[in-house]
Amino acid sequence: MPEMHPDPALLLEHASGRLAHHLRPIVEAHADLCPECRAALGELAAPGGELLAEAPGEAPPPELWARLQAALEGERRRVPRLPAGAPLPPSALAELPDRVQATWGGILARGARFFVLDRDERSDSLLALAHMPGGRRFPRHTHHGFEHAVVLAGGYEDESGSYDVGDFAVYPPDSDPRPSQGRPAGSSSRSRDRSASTAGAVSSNASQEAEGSAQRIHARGGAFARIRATMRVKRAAKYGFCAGVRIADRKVKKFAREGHRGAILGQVVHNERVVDEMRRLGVATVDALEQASEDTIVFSAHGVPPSFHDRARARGLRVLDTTCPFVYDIHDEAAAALADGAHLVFIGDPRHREVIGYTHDLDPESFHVLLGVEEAREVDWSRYAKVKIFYQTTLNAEEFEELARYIESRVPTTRRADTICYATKENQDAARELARDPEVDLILVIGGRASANTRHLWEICRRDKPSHLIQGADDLDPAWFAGVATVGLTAGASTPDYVVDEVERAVREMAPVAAGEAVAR
Amino acid sequence: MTTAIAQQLPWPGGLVPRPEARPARPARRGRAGEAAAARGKMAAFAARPAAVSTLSDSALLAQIAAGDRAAFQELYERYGGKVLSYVRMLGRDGGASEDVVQEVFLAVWRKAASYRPERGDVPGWLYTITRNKLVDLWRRRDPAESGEEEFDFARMPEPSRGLGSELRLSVHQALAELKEDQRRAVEMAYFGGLTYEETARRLDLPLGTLKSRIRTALMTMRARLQERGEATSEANHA
Repeated sequence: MPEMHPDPALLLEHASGRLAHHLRPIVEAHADLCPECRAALGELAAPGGELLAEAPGEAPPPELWARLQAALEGERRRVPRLPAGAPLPPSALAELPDRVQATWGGILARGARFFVLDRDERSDSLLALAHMPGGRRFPRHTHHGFEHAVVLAGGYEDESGSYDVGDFAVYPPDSDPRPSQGRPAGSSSRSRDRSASTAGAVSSNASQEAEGSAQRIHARGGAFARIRATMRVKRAAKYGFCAGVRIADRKVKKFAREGHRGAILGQVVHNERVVDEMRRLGVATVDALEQASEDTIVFSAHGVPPSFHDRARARGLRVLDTTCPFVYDIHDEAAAALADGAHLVFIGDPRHREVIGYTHDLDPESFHVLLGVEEAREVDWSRYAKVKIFYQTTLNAEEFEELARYIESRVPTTRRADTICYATKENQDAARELARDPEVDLILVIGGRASANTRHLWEICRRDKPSHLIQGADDLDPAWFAGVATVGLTAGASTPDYVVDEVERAVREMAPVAAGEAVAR
Repeated sequence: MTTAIAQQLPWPGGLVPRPEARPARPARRGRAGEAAAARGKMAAFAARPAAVSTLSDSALLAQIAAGDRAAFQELYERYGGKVLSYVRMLGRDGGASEDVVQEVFLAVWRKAASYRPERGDVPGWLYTITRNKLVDLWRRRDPAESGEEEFDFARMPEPSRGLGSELRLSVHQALAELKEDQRRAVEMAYFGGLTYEETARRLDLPLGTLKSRIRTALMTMRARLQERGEATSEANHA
């Protein structure tokens, strides 16, 4: 929601029709993007509305209706021609003159463009739409009157502050085109309006409105405003690593920071970049205990078979154990179930290290690892009097309900372990919520293409919003961001936070292309 | 008393109730007598499909946004005459009142899709559009906007009289309850045809002070009109 609003006096003028002509589309555009100011306009217009509602209402002459119908026919042919993709809100569009020249006014220094929507000779004012590529400055310019602007897409910042979609900016007149003078009157939550006397120019990735006297654009390349063409970015409430992996990650980094050297048994997570990062920190990744030449072996969050602790000790290795407490709970409960005479069923991937941790030390006859009902049908369940079901923690248990029910139907004494980890489900729920957030226009799901949980997040997001599955910032395609103001981010369970951070930085710097321009009035 | 007030009114059409369907204040709907009277007035004007006429103003706007001409006609029938009355009342139209009405409804057609409920009742939204078009007309006529004509408050319409309406505070009454300086400011600049600058000059107030005074006055009026609207609906349901 916008944080910079028109002065209340400006809203009063608009509600009562007194706003300067070229300012109307700007205020309307802001109102389209700002529920607060919509409500304020409604309140200011209410007594007038009451007057209209109470008015007796003489019958208008019938020819008036006929004229109106003829005018509506003309409406069909009225298509305001706008620059491709100009993201003008409908109410602002309705305020535009009938004929708008369909050309950008020019390419200014550094690729900034502007487009004149309306020019009023009488008040010597100008209404323009401006666009700045990401990271570029808008050329220095002067305006003899006030300049008002509303950001329609992306965002920018200048010495007065940072402006995002919907924000309303006011720049006082300056007779001297030195950059220091192009400062808005107020950068607090409400810009001060010095009455609607005159205004001037175009400044940013924003829509500018110039009211009042001469507006000149100087393509001299001075720095008027430092533009940061930003997308707004919203992250899912939960994404990426689960708490267990986060804690493990911190433990290993702390260990490395303290100058220790060690080896991690198996990848911390299934992500090459994390492995590289660990190597840089001085913590190598080994596939077997025997490969470790350091004096400390790190057990990752997935856990290891209990026997590995003994093997490490036997080799004289110290152990840094970052096993997730949830995983330990499953180890404990599996041992208890076995002692109780139950056959164990692990729902999960038999090659996954977490599952190997559970099963490696067990008698192969004492358990099954299953992922689907088809596999379960091949098992002779009549051999088991008791069954206990466990879930690999990175699976969403809800999705394996059919499998669990099948086993229960075959062995009525089946029990499910109550050690379910909800991390994966939480990521999915948060992704769903993000996809349904009306502010979010596009979602990027970050994770490995081979990662099942990442693909699943992608499927959830795609149901509600355009979504792309990417491995990192390099996969971003600028074309995705046309007309996009807010980008939602989520990440699979094996995606480290810094990859999410990189994507967010890249998205924020993404130039709004084509439709993503800022519109000025 | 009702009769006395009615006789003072300048409106050629006499007393016609407000439309029955007001989306944001459903409690005011459905006064049978008013509705019948309104239908009587409008019958002479144009036939319309009965199905449309029960829709609220905002529902009509939604249909207009989808290009529905019948809904557009319905909204025009509800408010076209009222807009015309208001424009004529201001007495500066120089024969262009009907042009203003046409521009207002053309704008309604263009802007219907952008109307949102937070923007308040449809009549308020219409008022802003009407004022914009009126001011455009005045500016075309007089680029300097000398703003000599003062709003003649005596020509303000009285509220329509209907079942329970004696309980309702009309705009006229809400205005009368304002402090004198607030009332004059609202009459001149908000309802009337003076610019804010000219109003400030006449009331010898700084422009900023004038605008904040008018805003305060409008908030007070709105609150009173709303309170009375609620009281009326309770009386109607009693």
